[in-house]
Amino acid sequence: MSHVQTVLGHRVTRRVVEAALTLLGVAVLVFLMLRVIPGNQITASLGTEASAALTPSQLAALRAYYGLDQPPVVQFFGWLGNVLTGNLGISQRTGQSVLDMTLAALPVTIELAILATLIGLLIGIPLAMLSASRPNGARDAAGQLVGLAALSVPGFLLGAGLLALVSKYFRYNPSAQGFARFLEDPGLNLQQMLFPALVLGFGLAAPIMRTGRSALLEVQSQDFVRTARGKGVAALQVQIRHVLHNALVPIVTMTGIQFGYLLGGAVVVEQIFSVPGIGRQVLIGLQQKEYAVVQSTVLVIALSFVLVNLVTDLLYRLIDPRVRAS
Amino acid sequence: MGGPALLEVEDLAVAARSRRGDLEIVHGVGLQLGPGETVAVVGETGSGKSLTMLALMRLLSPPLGITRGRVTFDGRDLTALPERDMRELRGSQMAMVYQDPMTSLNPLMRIGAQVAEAMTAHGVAKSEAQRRSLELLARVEIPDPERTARSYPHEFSGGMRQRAVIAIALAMRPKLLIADEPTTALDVTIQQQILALVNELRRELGMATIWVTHDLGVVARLVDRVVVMYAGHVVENAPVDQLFHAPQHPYTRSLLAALPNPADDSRPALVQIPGRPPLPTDVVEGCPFRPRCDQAREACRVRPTLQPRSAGSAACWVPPAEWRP
Repeated sequence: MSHVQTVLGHRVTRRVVEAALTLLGVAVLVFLMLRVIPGNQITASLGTEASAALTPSQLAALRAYYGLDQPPVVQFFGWLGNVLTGNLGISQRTGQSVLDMTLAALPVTIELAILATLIGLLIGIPLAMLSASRPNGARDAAGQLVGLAALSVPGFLLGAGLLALVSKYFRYNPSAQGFARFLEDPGLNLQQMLFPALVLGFGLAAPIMRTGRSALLEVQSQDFVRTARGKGVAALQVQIRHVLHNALVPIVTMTGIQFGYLLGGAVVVEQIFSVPGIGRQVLIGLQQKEYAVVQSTVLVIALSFVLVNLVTDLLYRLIDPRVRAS
Repeated sequence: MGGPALLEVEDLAVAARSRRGDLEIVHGVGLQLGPGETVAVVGETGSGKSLTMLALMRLLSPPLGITRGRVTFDGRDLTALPERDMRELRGSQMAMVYQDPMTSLNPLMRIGAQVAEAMTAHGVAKSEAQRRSLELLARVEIPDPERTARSYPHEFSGGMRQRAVIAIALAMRPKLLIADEPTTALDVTIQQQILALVNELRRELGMATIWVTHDLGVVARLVDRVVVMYAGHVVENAPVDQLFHAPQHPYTRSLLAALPNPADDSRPALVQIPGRPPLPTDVVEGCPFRPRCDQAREACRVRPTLQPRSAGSAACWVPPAEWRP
C-alpha cells in the first residue's frame, strides 16, 4: 500500500512541477512579447506623438509612474512577486484591480465555454456516429460535409451573419441591452449566450466529429463489438455501450484541448456579441498596452489550461479501468 | 440422427464485395446438423471456416457478405430473416465462442456486466441477469464469482477470459454452439481444460455444437462427424471413425498424415503438405487441391462435386481404391 502511495505521490509532484514550469514559461513569453511589440502605455493613452509633445522631464515622470524606467528584469520579477502574493496589478484605465476584473470575466467565459462544448458534443458525436455507421456511404458523405463546413466557416462570419439575420428579420437582439450575468437574470443571460455558444459550438463540432468518426471506425472493427452483436444486443446499444464508450478517450482528449482554447477566451466571438469575457479583457488590455492586465490575465488563462488538462487526465481514469491500474 | 435437422446449410457462399465485383471466398458450402449433434469443421488457416461460421450467425461485416445459399435453422431461413428477428436468435438460440479471448471482451466493462448483458438483451430482468451471471461464472469454474464479476478483462488471464466468453455464450442455453478455435490462443495446459469444459457443458445442455479447428487431433474424441474444408470448399464430410480410418479425399489423408504420432517410429516426425493453399484471388482450374495433390489426374481439371462415399461424401474424382501409394 505504501508503495502505491509513493508512486502516486511522485506522480502528483511531477504534475505540479510540470505545471509550475509551464506557467513560468508562459509568463516569460508574454512579458517578452509585450515589450517587443511597438508602443507602450504612454503612447497608447496619449498617442504616438506623445514623446514629441511632452517635455523630457514629463516623459521621465510618466515612465517612472508606469514603472517603465526600471530594467525589464526588475519589472518582470516585481510583477511575478506581486502575482505570487495574489496581487495581479491594477488597470489604470478602470482603476479596478486585475484580480477583480478577472473574477468578473472568468465565470462568463467559463459559462460560454461549457455551453459551446455541450453544443459541440451534441452536434459532433451524433454526426460522428452517423458517419461511422456506414463508412463511405451517403450518410458518411453528408456528415463529413457538415464537419468540413463547420471547420471552414470562420466564427466572425457565422457570428456576424447570425446576428445580422436575427436582428434584421426577427428584431431579436438580446445583446442590445446590457450584459446580464447568469446569477442576476438567467433567462436573459442564456438568450445572450445562445448565439455566441452556437457559433463556437458549431466550430467545435467539426474536430469532435472528425476525431469521433475515426475513433468509432477503429473500435467498430474490434472483436469485442462482434461479441456484443453475437449476444443479440441491439445495434444502437452496441454502438453506444460498446463502440462509443471505447472511442471516448480520443474524443475526450480533443474536447479537453478545445475547451482549454475556449477558456483562453473567444476574442472575436466575445467582441461580436459583446460578451464581457476574458478574451475581451485581454484584447482591451492589449489595445491600452496595460502590461499588468495582459500579463496577469494570460497567466490566469494558462493556469486554467493546465487545470483542464488535469481534469482530462482524471476523466481518462474514469473511462478506462486499465489507466486506473497502471 | 433422424428427425428434422437443427441446422441445414446449402450452397452457402461468402464474398468480399466491391464496386469492381465480388471476390468469392467461401464457394457454396453445405452442412447438416441434427439437434444435439457435434460436428468438427477442419481446415487450414484461410480455408474459410471462420467466415462460414460468422455467416451462419449473420455477423459478417462489410465488405464481407453472403452472396448465395440458404441457412435453415430450426425451420427458418436465416439468410432471409429480418435483422430484428436475427438479433433475437443470436445469443439466445445460437451462440459463439471466439478465437481470441484477449480481444473478444469489452475492456471497459466489468465481466459480470458483460455476462449479464447476454441475458438482458433477451428480456431477462437486470437483477435476475446479475444473479444468474454469478451462477454462470461459477459453472465455468471461475473462482470467487462475487469478486470476479466486478473485475475487468485486463485483470483476467487468457484462460479465465475464455471461460467468461463461454459463460456469455451459454447464458441463454442456446440450441447451437459454435466454438471457433476456442483454444488456439491459449497455453497447451489450458487448452485441454477449456475443451473439457465446453464438452461437458455441451452434454449437460444437450446443445448441437460445431467445433472449428485447424487441428484434427484436438477434436477427434469430441465429435460425431467431421467436415473438411479446403480453399473455401467442403472437400469431405464423414463420420469421425470413417474419416480417421478411411479418408476419402487426398487432402484429408494429408491432414491425417501431418498429425504427429509419437507411437509410430516409421514416420518422419513432421510431415508437410507441399505447396500452399490457393488465395481467393488465385484462379485454379478444376479441383482446388489439384496443384498440391499427389493423386491428381487428367479428370481433376474438371471441378469435382461432393459425392456419396460410404457413410459420408467427398469431392474427389478418384476413389481411394485407385490411389497411388
